[in-house]
Amino acid sequence: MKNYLIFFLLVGLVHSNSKGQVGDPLLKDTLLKATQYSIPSSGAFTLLGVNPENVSTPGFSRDFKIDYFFQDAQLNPNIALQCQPFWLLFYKNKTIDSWSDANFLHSIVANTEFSFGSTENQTKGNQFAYSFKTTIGYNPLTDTSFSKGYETVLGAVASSINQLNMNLTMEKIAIKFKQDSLENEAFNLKTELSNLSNYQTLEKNKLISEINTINAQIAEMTSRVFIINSTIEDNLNNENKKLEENAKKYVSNYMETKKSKFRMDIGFGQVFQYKDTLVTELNPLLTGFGIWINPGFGFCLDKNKSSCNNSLLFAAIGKLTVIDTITEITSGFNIRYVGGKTDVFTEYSPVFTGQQLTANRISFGGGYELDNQKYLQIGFLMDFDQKFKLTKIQPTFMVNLELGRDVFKTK
Amino acid sequence: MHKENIVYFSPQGSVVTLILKPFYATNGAYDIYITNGTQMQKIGKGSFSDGIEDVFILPIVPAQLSSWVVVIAGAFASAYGHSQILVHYTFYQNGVALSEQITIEHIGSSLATQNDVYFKKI
Repeated sequence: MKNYLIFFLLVGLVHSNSKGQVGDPLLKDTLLKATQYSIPSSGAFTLLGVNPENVSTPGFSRDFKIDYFFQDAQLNPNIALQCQPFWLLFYKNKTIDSWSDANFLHSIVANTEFSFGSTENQTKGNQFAYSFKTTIGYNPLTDTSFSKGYETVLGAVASSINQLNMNLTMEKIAIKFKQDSLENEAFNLKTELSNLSNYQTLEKNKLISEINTINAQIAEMTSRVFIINSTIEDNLNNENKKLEENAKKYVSNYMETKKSKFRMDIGFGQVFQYKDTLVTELNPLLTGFGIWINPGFGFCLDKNKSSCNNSLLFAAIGKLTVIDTITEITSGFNIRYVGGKTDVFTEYSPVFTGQQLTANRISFGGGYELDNQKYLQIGFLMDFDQKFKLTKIQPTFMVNLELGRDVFKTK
Repeated sequence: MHKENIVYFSPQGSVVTLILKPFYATNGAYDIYITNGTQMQKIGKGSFSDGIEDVFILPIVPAQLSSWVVVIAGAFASAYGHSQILVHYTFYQNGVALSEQITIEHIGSSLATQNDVYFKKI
């Protein structure tokens, strides 16, 4: 467990030192909810085959994820740690402009997840695995197009304000400058007036008359400035109503275009067996490797919503593992319904050992999102033989802890 | 929202800089104009996409003018979900702030705004 602790601390350190600037935190969260549908699987557990479902959920995790898996009512070391090291170390601090210039290779590297997990079961003994997995497809975490498009909407309003108000503003500024000069003139006349003696009545009356004329002009100008300011304010209020409508429409349309995005996981990893649970005496032995490809897409069942509350997710997997010189090919498909915080799934996956069908695996189960970071999943994994006779039934229970949903901070 | 502010400047200074800084993930697009009362000139436009401040150097020679006006016409909006819009802007002359920072603040998710800043010689 010491290794886990060191790994956890290292990743936690990186995590706490990161200050992302890519986009808006709430938008990212909403985009994740609108497009992710459910929590993606850890690569190490996919490789070790201990997920409640056999067909993994493709997709992007948050910065850091911990999966804890219970099996056969035993408290085993079935734990998987997962993070996106390249994203955390090199990409999270990038500005949106840098992301706009990022090429396909950069986005693949940034999306790459590393996971490490261990499991213990009666037939295979103690095993641990590491894996690298990357995801191709729409990634809300690195989405840079929202802000750019949003600015176009805002820019149109800014330009409209210009057309509506600039002539009025010019008139107002010309008046104010004229007012300034008249006020100076009135001040000078008043100074001159105060210097006159009481006997200079004619001159005094003339000055008073001039001051009154100037004051009348200033009052007239003040009244005109007041009307101009009211008109400018009215124009802005009308523009703000348009802006609000356009902004809401933009956000809603944007979400709609992202909901049914296709994504595909491609993973590779190695499996080791260990004898002793003491870290210093693990004596790990490489027993095999696995590769898998895991496409999936979802669509939202809600209409005209900027965030998705009811959705269907389809996923498939093709996995090849060569462990202990036994080649196993697993394929299958999974259908998952997600309604709010709850989801249910069912799947079918035939397992081939060598050329021979060794199991027809049917799983079903569901999950519940306790909050933004904690997710519980329970499932039943049933193996049938070639004649569809039940040979094994295994309940599974998993806890996902996801960190990093709210780490995007703007300056 | 329409606001007017007065900023006092020294004719000895040569360069006047404007720095706009958004807070709370405010998105925005705005145009900046400058006028001496007879003609208005657009001196630039900006946008906030990632919370980074924008810097403009104003094309004026303070020694030659007793007053002028800078107009900031902008549209700001919360990217999603925020109910407050907050943008600070400050004018500097040779690196020294000419006044306290001026704040555009609005409770709501969007704001069409015009800010007229009158510069007057001390």
